[in-house]
Amino acid sequence: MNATAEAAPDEAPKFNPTAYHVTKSDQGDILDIRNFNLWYDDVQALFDITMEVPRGLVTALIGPSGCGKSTLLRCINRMNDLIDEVRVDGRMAVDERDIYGKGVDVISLRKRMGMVFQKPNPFAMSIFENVVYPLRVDGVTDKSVLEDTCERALRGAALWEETKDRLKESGLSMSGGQQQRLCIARAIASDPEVLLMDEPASALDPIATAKIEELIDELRGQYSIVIVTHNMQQAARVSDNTAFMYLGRLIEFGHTETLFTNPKLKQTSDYISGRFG
Amino acid sequence: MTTNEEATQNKTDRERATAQRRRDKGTRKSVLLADRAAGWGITAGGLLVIFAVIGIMVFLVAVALPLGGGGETLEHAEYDLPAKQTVWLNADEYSTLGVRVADDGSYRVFHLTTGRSVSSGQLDFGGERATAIGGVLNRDRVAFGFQDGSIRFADLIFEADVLLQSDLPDGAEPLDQRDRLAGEAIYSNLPGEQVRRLRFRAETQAPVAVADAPIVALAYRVGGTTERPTRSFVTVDAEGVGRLSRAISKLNIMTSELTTEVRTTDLPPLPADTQVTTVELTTLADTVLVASDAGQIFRFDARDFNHPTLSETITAFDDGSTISAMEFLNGEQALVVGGSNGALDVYFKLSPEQGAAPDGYKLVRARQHEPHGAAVTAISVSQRSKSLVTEAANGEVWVRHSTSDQVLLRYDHGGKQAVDSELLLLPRVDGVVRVASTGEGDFWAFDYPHPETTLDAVFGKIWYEGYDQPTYTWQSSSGTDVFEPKYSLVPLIFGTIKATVYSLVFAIPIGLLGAIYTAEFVHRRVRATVKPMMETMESMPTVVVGFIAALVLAPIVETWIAAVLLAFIALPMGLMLAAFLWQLLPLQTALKLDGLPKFFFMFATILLSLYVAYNLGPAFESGFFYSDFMAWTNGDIGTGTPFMFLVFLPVGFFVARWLVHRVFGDRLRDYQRGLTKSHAGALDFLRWAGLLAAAVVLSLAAASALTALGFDPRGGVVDTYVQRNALVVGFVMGFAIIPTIYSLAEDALSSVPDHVRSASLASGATPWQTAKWVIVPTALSGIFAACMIGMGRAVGETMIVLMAAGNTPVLDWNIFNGLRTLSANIAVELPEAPQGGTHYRMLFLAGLTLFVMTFTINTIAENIRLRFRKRAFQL
Ligand SMILES: Nc1ncnc2c1ncn2[C@@H]1O[C@H](COP(=O)(O)OP(=O)(O)OP(=O)(O)O)[C@@H](O)[C@H]1O
Ligand SMILES: [Mg+2]
Repeated sequence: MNATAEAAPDEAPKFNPTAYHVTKSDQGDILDIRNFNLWYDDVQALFDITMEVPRGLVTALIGPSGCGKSTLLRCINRMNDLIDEVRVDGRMAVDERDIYGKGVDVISLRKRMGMVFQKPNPFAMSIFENVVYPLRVDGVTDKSVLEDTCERALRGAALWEETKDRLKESGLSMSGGQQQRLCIARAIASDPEVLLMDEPASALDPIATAKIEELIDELRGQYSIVIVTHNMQQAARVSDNTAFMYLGRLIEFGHTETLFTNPKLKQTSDYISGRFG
Repeated sequence: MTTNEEATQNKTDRERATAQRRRDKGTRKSVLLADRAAGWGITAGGLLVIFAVIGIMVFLVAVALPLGGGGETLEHAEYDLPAKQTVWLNADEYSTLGVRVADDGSYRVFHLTTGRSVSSGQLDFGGERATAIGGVLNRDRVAFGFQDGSIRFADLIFEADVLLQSDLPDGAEPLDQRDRLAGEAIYSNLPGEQVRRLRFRAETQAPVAVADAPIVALAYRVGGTTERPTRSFVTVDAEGVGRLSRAISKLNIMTSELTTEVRTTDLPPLPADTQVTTVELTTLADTVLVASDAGQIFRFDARDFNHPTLSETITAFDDGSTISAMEFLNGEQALVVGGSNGALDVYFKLSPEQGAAPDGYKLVRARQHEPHGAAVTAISVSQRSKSLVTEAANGEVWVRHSTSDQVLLRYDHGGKQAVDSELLLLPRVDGVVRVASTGEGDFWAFDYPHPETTLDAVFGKIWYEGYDQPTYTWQSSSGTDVFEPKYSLVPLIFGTIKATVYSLVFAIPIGLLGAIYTAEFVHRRVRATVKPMMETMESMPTVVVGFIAALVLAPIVETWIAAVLLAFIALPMGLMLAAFLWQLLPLQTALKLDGLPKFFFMFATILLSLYVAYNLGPAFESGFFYSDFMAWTNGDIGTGTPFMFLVFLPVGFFVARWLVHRVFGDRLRDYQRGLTKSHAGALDFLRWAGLLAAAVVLSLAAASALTALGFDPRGGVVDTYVQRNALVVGFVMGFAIIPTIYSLAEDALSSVPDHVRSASLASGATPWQTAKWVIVPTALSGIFAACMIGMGRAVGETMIVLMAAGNTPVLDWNIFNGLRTLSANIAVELPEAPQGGTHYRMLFLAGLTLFVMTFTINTIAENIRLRFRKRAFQL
């Protein structure tokens, strides 16, 4: 991306977030990102990102491959800490509290957010243990609490009917789509405030994808969801707001319908109409 | 139009070219050839490796196999000698000549394989017939007893000298491929144009009067030095009087006259009506054994020559059969007793703690060999080994090995009854001669290279001479001639396992924790430097490690043993304490100090713990081990309570924890969750301190209870302290295998896919929770394989155990005692084992055992690894 990254600033008109109409939630904003930059070693991957994510709504991140969607998503629960050479600057806050501030307890930060990865990644444990893992981590040992949570989460992930008789079986014994829903169940088991989803349907067939989309629809309101997707229709279907990223920059961010029907910038319309990416 | 045509033309051209290319897509010959060549090359290489491994295995098996391979009879010759009552047989060292002495003193020397008479002569018996005979083990010095109560000594000597082929007299008559007869000598061909001349010479000495009645039994031994031999003999006369005599010959240098002075003492009288069949005497003349036809053995203690006493009377056979033959085995520690019922039992003279005779010894039946079908008539024992040959009245002639309790070869002499025959096992245990009084002679030549090794002797318990009971013993060499090598692999296998277990106990926790630490906790860059460093450590020459262990570490551990033991407690305690202190820090401070300061704090804790252990060592020793650890391990002072208390402490901790959990359940934790970090930390610390106190109480109670029940760990895993011991080996070999375990376990851990790790961390798990619940279980088989491969290394490790383990082949779990492993044993003993001998082959068998052990361990490890890989791919 290096070569094009140099060229990008000239082409891209300065994005002014306030100029866009973002669907606001009546509960205010959950995430507040301001002038956020990120470098992998010397290579800058995120440039000056500024956006607010409204509470209780679904926010989609779209953009061509390698534009930094996953990177941005991982920044929100500091999963980027795992990559040693990452450096960030700017401000990112959840519920007004700085995520990258000094003395932030990363563990409790992560407990407030659930994350679903692009590839299903259940543990080599039983389905039950997979779902209640966040509670175990919290030290919960009360059996009834665990069982209730398990059922609620599996129902939430539309998996209860399929798995209620085989909770003791390995999570790895399920199909890819089931595994992904299992991961969603795990992500919502601890009742997080934010649900981060990185292309949760990319490895799934249309039926499973539809199920997950339904699920997202159902979860709307309870959780604030940030979802990365390559599928334009999906973004259009499930999200309230959509952010379009390109070469590490946030190009356009606004009400989904507006962004898809009436993009303000040429890059956005090019991408949406499939002319690149 | 034209453009259109051109376009069409172009198009068809292109299509044709494409079609051509598609057709050409069949792989080119050269590529196929290279592919096949590479295939062959790789297959050949792989097969070569497999063949090399199989080859080593086959070689080891081939060398070790003859150990259990039995033997064969090479030839059997029958011939006729003059019919005379045979009383003594002897043969030369090279199994060439035999001599038969008859009761009238006439002797005949004959060629063993052909029976051809070589010479004959007459011992000076003064016209009398010998009524009893006794001879030394070498059979070249003999004493004859006579009707008139006198004794005559005779020497039956084979003289061998090596000559040049040219010295061979003319007209020598060939007897067989090797031997020629000329005059009264046999000339045997030797390699290198040489011949060995063998002649026989007999000397008789003047009679010595001992008794007034005919002598019925006689035993003769020659002890002392070659210059001043002491000849001792025991006689029993027809009146049942036993006498012990000593003859000291003095050579007058002036007159060259040999004077013999005989001193005699009477043995205490035997019970009336005792018919003596045989007597035996030891070379030191300190024990006399008299056998009666009532099946009794009388043991006399003759350590005080002037006052022999009857120490013990035993009945040899349970059914009271007559003792028909009795003979000391080589070494005079074991007595072979043959009965009229065909039984053949072996008695040891032992000094048991209980039931000993007044002189402190006791005859104990140690073996019951396979019985003959009829009375045992003759026994001839080997001069070098524990082999013997026995004959029974039904004509059976069996070659046996006593220690391994097997009949090596069975000859039945064509079913002929044995009539008064004499039996001789050749000096090199390669043949048996039997001459009956009818003059019938038999000669069997055989080859039985390894009679002492059976599966039972190698892996089972064997009751060796001088031992109170059957044992597993490895002792391949010793200073004395009569020594019998003991080849039990069990102590060596045990030593190998002991060294492995103790080093794994040390290496596995450290190796695995280290692997988890670098795989899950540290910065990738730290890992990138630490891992290669650990892997270089692996290539450290173990001889250097062993050298340091033996010369530096072992003395240090010995001097500071209390401090070393204390460190095992202080280190984990110190680290735990530090962890709790860290918890007490306010969250902000703790997070700020994360990283390097935390690392230094940890490091300082370790140093401090060691320092504390070092300083409190003496106090610890006086508090727990009654001020003298060495004396305590000996069991001289104190009880086992303090030690058991220390061992139970961790167990007590977990029990206490479990109890608290049972009682309080999650309430404590739920309450704790509501607190701030420091407060929760303080509560945690209090809980820990409380648990510790509970653990102290619990383990103290358990230890005291066990002591009250009479249990003492000393004599088990702790016992007398030896400087080179399993603790040191555990340390040092652990140190040598930590890199292996570390590196393989690290590989297994870091090959757990990152997305699994991310999933756990994203769920809010700490790195330790992630490692404990997700990473380690996923990598478990890889970790297990790492431990197994570390174990394989420990099993095969040689230099460290060789230098630091003391090399004592004992069966003893005592952590403070030494050990000898299979590998170290091979390294130590192979240079001194003559090629092709039993010892040599035993070492190869040890090698084979080692090979099988490591092979098994590695195969299991590899299988588990493969399974692990499959599972890892599933993720
Ligand atoms: N661990 C990493 N180390 C260095 N560079 C990285 C790393 N991860 C991502 N990048 C770089 O950061 C940029 C953004 O990557 P990111 O994964 O965020 O893209 P993305 O938008 O999620 O793409 P896709 O749609 O293909 O998933 C890419 O140029 C990539 O090369
Ligand atoms: Mg991505």
